Amino acid sequence: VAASAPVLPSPALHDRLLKIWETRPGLLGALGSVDHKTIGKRYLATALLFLLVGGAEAAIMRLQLAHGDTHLLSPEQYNQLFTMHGVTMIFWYAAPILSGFSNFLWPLLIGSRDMAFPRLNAFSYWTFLFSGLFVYSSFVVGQAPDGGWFAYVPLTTASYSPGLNLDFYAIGLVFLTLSTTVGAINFIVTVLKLRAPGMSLDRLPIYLWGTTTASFAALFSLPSLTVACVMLYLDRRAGTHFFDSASGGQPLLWQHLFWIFGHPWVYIVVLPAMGIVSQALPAFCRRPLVGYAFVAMATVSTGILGFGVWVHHMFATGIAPLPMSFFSAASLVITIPSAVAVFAWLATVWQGRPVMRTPLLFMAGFVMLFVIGGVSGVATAAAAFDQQLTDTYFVVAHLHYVLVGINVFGVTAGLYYWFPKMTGRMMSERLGRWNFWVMFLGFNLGFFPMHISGLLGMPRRVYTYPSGLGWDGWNLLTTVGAYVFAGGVLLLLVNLLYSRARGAPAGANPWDAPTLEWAVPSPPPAYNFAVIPTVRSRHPLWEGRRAGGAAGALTDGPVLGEDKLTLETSALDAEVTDVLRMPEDSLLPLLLALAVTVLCYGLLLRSVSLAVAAGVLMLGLTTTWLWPFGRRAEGAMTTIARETAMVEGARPLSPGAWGMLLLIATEGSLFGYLLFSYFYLGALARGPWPPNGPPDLHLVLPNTLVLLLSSGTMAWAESGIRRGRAGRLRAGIGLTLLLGAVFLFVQGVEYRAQPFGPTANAYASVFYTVTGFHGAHVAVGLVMLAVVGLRAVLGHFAAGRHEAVTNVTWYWHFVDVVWLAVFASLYLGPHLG
Amino acid sequence: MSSVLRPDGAGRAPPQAGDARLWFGLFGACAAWSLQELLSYGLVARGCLDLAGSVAAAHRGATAVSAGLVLVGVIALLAAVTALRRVDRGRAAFMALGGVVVSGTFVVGLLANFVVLFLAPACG
Repeated sequence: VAASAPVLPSPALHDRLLKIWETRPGLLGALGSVDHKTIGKRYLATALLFLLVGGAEAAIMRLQLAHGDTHLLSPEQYNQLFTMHGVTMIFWYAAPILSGFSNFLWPLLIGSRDMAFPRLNAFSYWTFLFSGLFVYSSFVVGQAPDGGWFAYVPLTTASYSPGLNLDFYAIGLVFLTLSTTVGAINFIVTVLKLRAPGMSLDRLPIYLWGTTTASFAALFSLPSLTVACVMLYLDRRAGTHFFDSASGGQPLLWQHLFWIFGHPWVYIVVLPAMGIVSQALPAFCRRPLVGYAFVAMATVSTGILGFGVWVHHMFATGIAPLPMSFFSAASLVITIPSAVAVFAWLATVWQGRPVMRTPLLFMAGFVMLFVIGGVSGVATAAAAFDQQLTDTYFVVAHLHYVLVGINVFGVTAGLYYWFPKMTGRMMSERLGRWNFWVMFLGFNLGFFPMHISGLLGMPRRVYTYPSGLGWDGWNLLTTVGAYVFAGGVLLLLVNLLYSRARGAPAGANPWDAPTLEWAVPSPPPAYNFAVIPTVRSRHPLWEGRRAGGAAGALTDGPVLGEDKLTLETSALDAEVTDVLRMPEDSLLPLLLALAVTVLCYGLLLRSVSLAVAAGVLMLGLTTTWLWPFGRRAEGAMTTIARETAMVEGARPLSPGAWGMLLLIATEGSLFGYLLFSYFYLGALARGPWPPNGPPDLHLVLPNTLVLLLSSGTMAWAESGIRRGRAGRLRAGIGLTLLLGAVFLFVQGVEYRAQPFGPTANAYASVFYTVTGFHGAHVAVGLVMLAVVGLRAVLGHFAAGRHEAVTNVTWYWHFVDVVWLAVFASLYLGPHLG
Repeated sequence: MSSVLRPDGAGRAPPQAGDARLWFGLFGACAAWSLQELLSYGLVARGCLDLAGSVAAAHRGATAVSAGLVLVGVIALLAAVTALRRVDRGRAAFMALGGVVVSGTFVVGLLANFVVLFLAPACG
């Protein structure tokens, strides 16, 4: 395999860029680092640790299940272990490990110097870590979650699980969604706005399609999990009745909300792994991926179809045949894009000249397991057959082929492929081959017999089983296979540690791969690229080898060496639109994540004072974070190019604006799921809905007008500053603050006038939750307005320098639009019958 | 400096006439499929609960909505095919081809959802 020379700057330029971009030495420097490469490696290492912990839990369970009538573990211990195993692997390993790859690789793949929001990136990592530690602290008190990874009610309600177990689960998952949501926003904005000039949509490295699709899926699916977990927590600790059928609640509401999130999550942990394979395969087949556009669009199609199949997890719940058939059909259609990807991989191998190195072995294993897991998925998608498979070990086999086969094998291929880039050293090929075969054989020996155990009727989640039912032999095989597989994972770790210290030097491009990350030295310098490259094809490092290929520029282009700068480009065609000044390292992300952790413990312990203290701390830290200390007041990250007339013309949406729009999108989904819950409970109510008749409109109608008026005053303020009228901005923000406060006050008065409290029945619970969530958003909006108002008083804004004002205006309009939906649904709807 | 930030015009794509068609070709069918799935499910499920009139009325409503959305999906696919014929390379061609792939997949989904209306018993 040929090694190409890296693109190196002059020593003077290297030193200058290094001084600007390098993290300060020492503990504080390390804790405050916002370098995407550091964060990516931390993600990878932490997720691998969670993999080991989750694997150890599985190993103990497999000892228990190796024979019938074994009592190594008590039923309660077993319940906690299988729940924590599932929760750990699905939430704290499978998705975060992919975030690790993406964090490390994205700026390198797209020719940028960092992610769009580096501090948010650090915050995403710290919240991921602390949420995991939070959930694992449950073991300290002997009350780990014990209701399975999907925590079905009513088993998980306080009546049947009175301890803290499921509180750790509900709070911990909402904590994690914070990490995943900000991470997803960061990925999307990065891919839209930070690509190298010329990297138009059709030239994106194929890996980015997987993570981008997964990030969009996360934004629209995670709010469903948040709503479900908030409801579970409120039912358990505040006495609400969302899932309590005796008071008008519906246990199946949990299943709907969980699986509306849960099935897209499967693709969130699968699509980026598929992307790894699509990205790495060409390097070992010595040719570009066959059917790039087909694979990219198959990825997008899969991500969207993933939202339309959630009911196939609920085929055994008594849903009517025709509604089930819609979801069965969608579950079968999803095989089309999956097959497109498989055939593209096969065609790439077929038409290429495969070089059989360890990454390719893992990719081949991945494809085989992908097909097996896919076929067993088709079986469960068939509603009639699924009636026989539900809650058996067949489903356990299927999900492990999907989650381990696709995720772990894809991830391991990625580790072998990019380890040289991350460390500058090659992994041992000999150990790698042993690693592959032990893992591959162990996996199939362990998990394939689970299909048979399931078909023989063995239910999942039994802590032991009677001998003599024909399950013993298959279970013994499974246990042996699981331990062999675990040995393979240990070989991987040994190889990682050994090669980190003693691997052969890798050079910049040991695989002779075609994409930008291989143009820089291994490991990459802190600034990534000495000059921002210009791209003219999907394979910048293979240009010139292929007939008719256009040549990009890797060695000349903008240096941007005056400050911590990178280029901003347009979303579709990657034309230069601006230069971004990136933020410095900071301890604020760590401190804010710690404050969120304290808040979570406050909620767990139901300590109002602790929760309030954490809330105040979070508010202070967030304000400090967003306050432009020591920088130009507005546009601290941006507009340098525009001010110096290097770029002219109308500026498209900035990264900050995109971030706000994506936040609004995910928050909008949250309210969508809340309103879905309202209508679902109403549709299945046995009595009148609302139980006390339609709500009184005397207060809410004028209050709605007050809120709408506040949108008008905010729009007036924002249009004022666009014209440079700072006085109008201040007056408009002041009026908006006043109207918003009046709205909240009147809502409080309305609450006091209601004849029922939130714990009266399911209607009351959903009424107060929906309006309360909205009220909380108004309160957050008021805080944002207060901060922007203060900055307006200090003269931070002017015509052309008012991005924060515009973003807060959008948020305020969003809050108003949501209220219109709430008003129409909860107040007007019942009057209209 | 200007030439440094826009080296040799790289990355500049000619203005794309008909971008709206490209976007419709790309996402029109999947939007139609999403609506079809949610509306058909909602109508029939409510019909089975006898909350929206008779089951037969709900079935008729779902069939009409479904048929309309199949049509939207097919039009999106045709829009993508037409766009593909008009552009030969670059980002526009990629989006057009992507539209054919995505809309083609979702038209299959739309047809599958439409066909099951006549194959499966509504409420069992």
